Amino acid sequence: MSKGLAALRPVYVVGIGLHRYQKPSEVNFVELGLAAVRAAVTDAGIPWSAVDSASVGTVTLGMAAGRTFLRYMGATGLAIQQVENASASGSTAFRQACLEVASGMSEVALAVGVDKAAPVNSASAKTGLSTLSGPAMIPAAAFALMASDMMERYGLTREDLARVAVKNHGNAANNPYAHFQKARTLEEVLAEPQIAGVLTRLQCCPIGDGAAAVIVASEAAIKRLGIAHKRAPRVIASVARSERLYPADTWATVELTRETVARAYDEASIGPKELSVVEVHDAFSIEEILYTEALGLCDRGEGGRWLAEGKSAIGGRCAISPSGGLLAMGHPLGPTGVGQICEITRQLRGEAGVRQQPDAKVGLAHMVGVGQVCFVHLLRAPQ
Amino acid sequence: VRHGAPQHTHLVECVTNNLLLSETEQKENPRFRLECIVSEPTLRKPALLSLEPGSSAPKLRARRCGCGHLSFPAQRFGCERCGLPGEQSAETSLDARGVLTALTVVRVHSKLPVPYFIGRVTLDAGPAIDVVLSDDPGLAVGKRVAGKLFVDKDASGAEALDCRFTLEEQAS
Repeated sequence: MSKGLAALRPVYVVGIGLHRYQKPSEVNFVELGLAAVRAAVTDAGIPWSAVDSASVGTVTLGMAAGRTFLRYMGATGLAIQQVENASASGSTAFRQACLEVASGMSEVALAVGVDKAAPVNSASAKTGLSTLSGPAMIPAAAFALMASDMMERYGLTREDLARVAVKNHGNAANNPYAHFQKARTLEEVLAEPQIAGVLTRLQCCPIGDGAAAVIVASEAAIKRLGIAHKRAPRVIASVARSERLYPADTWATVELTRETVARAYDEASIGPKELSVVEVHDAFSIEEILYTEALGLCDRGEGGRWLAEGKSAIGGRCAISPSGGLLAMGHPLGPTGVGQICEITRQLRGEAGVRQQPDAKVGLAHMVGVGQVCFVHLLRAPQ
Repeated sequence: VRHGAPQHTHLVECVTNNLLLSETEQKENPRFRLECIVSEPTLRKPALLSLEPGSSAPKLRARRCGCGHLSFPAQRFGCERCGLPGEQSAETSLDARGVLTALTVVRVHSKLPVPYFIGRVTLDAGPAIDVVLSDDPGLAVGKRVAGKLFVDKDASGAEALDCRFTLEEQAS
């Protein structure tokens, strides 16, 4: 197995910036993207001309989005590449930026995700193959099936599931970049209309507009540009995997997460005990519980109890989705994976304000894209 | 219009650009109704399902690779387990029977009528597949289920046989 980032040049996150995630709006994608990139450049305290390359994650915008908006930062001639990888587009863009710096191809690299809510153009619809469940199998139904299985196997309750939304909406209430910024009670979450199975509306993520940007840099660039090392968490693992064949009685998204995470721990020579803060692909409430277990934070079947005991709350054993996660910060597709890195960075810098996980040392960002693909990044707090 | 076994009788509305009618008749009756008898509706998903003559139990069209791996839906692109090209797989049909391992109800959908039920079935042949279920209240995790054909109408009103899974004893 490859050694991954550990064998390459150290990569540090030096700048973060967001445009608020919001319901579909009149705001042009150029404005969304520029707001996030300008904020990241300002946060890094570097001139735009110092950025050698940009990786742009977007699902809905179409061909050549990157140069179309980045030109207005100043047409410096930087390298631009666009990546599309479903929900993991932003995570893929971040990984590409990390690889640019780790390999020595760039000293400073930008990852930016930007999207406008719009119908998606999916390759899987063009294979000529169909399924028995067809359009009846909406994403909420697929995850409601997993919830049904966990309830049957481990006695997970609808309250356990609703508590994920209560926690994440509570966290997002203190996040000025979140799509939803309203704390919700257990009763409110349970009283919402059920979309599929026990999953109520507030247990399904909103898809809207948004943008997120992260700037990564090498050790040399940090010195040359006078960037404060104490605000620059190091990226200690970047792992990307895709689905294999799994036994019929398992869920692919869980097995894929389990093996991707295992490689990330291996790459960084750490284990789940060292995690202080985590952002997962909680597009549906059940996912956070499944991934809490897949990350090894608790045993199989214990995810619901772990949450109920407050272990994933801010101030708990390991804060999960302190940003509000996909459920409440939102899931604008391209920005989502980059936005996770913004939150982890904020936490590891100790700059998350009322959302701060105390003494956050190691953070993990996890993303799944349909298909399926999985990305896991690990970051360590500045020394 | 008569063809096939007279199973279903339909009233079909036709526009009168029909040569059988004189111009005057067409003016007086811009539309007329024609009763016709047609054969039994065809399968809506012939790429996924097959029906043997004389049987009402649908089979699932699959392919088995030289390595033994089953692909459902049947595809000739290549084997997900060993990578062999599809030419090295052979058509096979699987019994639409197995054990229900998860089920749920969908209450919100942008196009389909709700509520409807969805389930995951581990087929006796091995693969786990996602299916649309009947609304039988007896359906539960662990129960044996089987595919059952039913006459479904699409948005244009055309009828075809589609497949839902239900309790095995009620499918046969």
